[in-house]
Amino acid sequence: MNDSLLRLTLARDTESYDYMDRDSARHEHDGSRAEDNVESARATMRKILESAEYVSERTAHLSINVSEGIKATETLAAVARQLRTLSSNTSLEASRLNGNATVAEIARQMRLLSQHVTALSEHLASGLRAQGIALGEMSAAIDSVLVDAASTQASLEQSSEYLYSDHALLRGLLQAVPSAPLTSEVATDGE
Amino acid sequence: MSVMSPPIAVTRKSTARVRPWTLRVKLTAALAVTGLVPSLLIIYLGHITWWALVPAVAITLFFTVSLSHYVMTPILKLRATAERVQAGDFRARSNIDLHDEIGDIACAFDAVTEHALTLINELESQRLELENGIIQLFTELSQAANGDLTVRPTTSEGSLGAVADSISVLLRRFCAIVRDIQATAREVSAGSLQVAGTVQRVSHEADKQAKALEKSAKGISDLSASASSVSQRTQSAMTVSARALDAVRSGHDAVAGAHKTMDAIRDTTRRATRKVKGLGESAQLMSQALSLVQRNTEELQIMAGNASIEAARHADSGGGVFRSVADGIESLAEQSQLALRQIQEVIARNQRETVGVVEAIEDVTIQVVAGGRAVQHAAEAFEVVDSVVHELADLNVFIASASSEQARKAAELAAMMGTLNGISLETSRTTAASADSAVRLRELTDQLNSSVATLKVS
Repeated sequence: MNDSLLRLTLARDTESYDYMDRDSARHEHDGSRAEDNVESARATMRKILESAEYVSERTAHLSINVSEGIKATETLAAVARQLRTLSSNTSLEASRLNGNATVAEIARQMRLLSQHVTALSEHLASGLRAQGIALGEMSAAIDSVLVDAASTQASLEQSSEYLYSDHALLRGLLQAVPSAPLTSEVATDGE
Repeated sequence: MSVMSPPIAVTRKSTARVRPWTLRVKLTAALAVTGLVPSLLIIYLGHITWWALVPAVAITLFFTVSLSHYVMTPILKLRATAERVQAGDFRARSNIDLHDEIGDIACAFDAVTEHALTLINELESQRLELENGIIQLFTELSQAANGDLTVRPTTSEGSLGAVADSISVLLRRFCAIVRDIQATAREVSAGSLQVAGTVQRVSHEADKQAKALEKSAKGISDLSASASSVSQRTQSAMTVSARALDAVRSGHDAVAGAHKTMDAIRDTTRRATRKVKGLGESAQLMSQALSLVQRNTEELQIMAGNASIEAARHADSGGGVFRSVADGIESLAEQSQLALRQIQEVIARNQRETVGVVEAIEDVTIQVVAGGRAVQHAAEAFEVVDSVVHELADLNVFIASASSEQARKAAELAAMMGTLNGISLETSRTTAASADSAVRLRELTDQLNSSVATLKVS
C-alpha cells in the first residue's frame, strides 16, 4: 500500500520534474526569444535615437536658415521703405519741376513697386515665421521623440536586466531543485 | 512304511500311573469275598465245623485266582495294546479272540486303531503332499525372495492352491506397487532434483533479493533524505521563484511602458511629419512670393535703366534728378537683389534640409513601426515568460508538497524495506534448509530407487 503510494508519489514527482524541465526549457526558449525581441527593440531604438538626433540637428539648421531668411526679408522690407522714401522724394522733385510727367510717373512706379515689395516681404516674413514656428514645434516633437526614445531605451535596458535577473534566478532555482532524484534506482532495486 | 505317530495324549483325572495289579487285587478280593461269604454262610447255617472252612477257602481262592486270571489276561493285553497305540504304534493289535464283552471291546479297540491308522495314513499322505506343495511353493517363492517378482507359483487344487493363488495375486499387486514405487521414486527423484534446483535458485534469488532489498532500503533512505533536501530547497526555490516572477512582471511593465512610449513616439513622429510637410508647402509658397519679388526687382532695375535714359536725355535741363533717382533705384534694386538671393539660398537650403529631415523622419517612422513590433513581440514573450514562471512557481509549490509527502512515504517504506529485508534473510535461510532437505530427499529417493531396482517386475 505504502509502496504503491510512494511509487505514485514518485511518478507524480517525476512528472512534476518533467514538467519543470519542460517549463524550464520553455522558459529558456521564451526568455531567449524575449531577449532577442528586446535586443531588436533596443537596436531599433538606437537607430531611432540616431535618426531623431539627425532630425534634431537638421531642424536646428533649418531654424538658423529661417532666421537668416527672416533677416533677408527684413532687409527687403527696408529696401521697400527706402524705395518708398525715394518715391516720395521723386514725387517732390516732380512737383518742383512743375509737374514733370516723367518724374511723376517714375515716382508712381516706385511707389507701386515699394508697395509690392513691402507686401511680398511681409508675406515672406510671415511664411518664414510660420516655418520657424513649425520648426520649433518639430524641434520640440523631435526632442520629445528623443526623450521618449531614451526612456524606451532605458525601459528596454531595464527589462533586459530584469530578464537577465530572471534567468539567473531561474538557473539558481533549477540548481536548487534537482531533477527526479533516485527515482530510477528505486524502480530497479525495489522490484 | 511304518506308522509311528506321536503318542496320543490320554486325558486322565490323575496323572499317576495305575498300578497293574490294582484291578486284579480288587477283583480277587471281590471274588474271594463273593466265594467266602457263601462258604461262611453254609458253615454257619449247616453247622458245619470250622475245620471244613479250610478247603472251602482254598477252593474259593483257587477259583477266584483262576477267574481273575481269566478276566484280567485280555484286559491286560488290551491295556498293553492301548499303551502301544498311545505310544504311537497304530499297528499294534490286541488280537483278543473272545466272544464276550472284553472280546467286543478288544475288537472295537482294534477297529478304532485300524481306522485311526487309516486316518493317520491319509493324513500322512496329505501332509506329504502339502509338504511337497509347500516345498515347491517355497522353491518358486525363493526366486521372488531373490527379487524376481515375475515368478508365479504353480496353482494346484486345495488350500495350497488357494494360498498360491493368493500369493500370485499378492505378487501381482506387489509388482504393481513396486512399479508404482519405482515410477514414484523416479518422479520423486526428478522432482526432488528439480525442487533442489528450484530451492537453490530460490535461495540464490532470495539472497539477491535480500541484497537488492538492502540496497533498495539504502536507496529509499537516500531518497528520503534527498526528498527532504528537495523539499527544503524547493521552499527556498519558491522564494526565488517569487522574485523571478517579480522580475518578470517588472520587465513586463518596463516593456509595456516602452510600448506606450513607442506609441507616443509614433504620434510625435506623425506630427513632425505633418510639420515637415507644412514646411515644404510653406517653402513652395515662399518661392512663389520670391518670384514676384524677383519680378519687382527686375522692374526696379528696368526703372533704374529708364531713369538713367531720362537723365541722359535731359542732361542739359535738370537731368540730375533723373540721375539721382536712377542711382537710388539701382542701389535699392541691388540691395533687393542681394536680399532676394539670400532668401533664395535660405529657401533652397531649407528645402534640401527638409528633404533630409523628411527622409530621416520616414526612417524614424519605419524604425518606430519596427521597434513597436519588436516591443510588442517582447511584450508577448514577456507574457509567455510570465506564464511559464507562473507555472514554475506552481510546480515549485506542488513539488514542495509532493517532496514532503515523498519524504514521509519514503521513511515509511524504508522501515518496511527493513522488515522485508529481515523476512528475505529468513526466507534465504529457510530455503537453504529446504535445499538441504531436498538433497536429502533425493538421496533417500535414490536409495529407494536402487532398492526397488533390484526387484524384477517385468
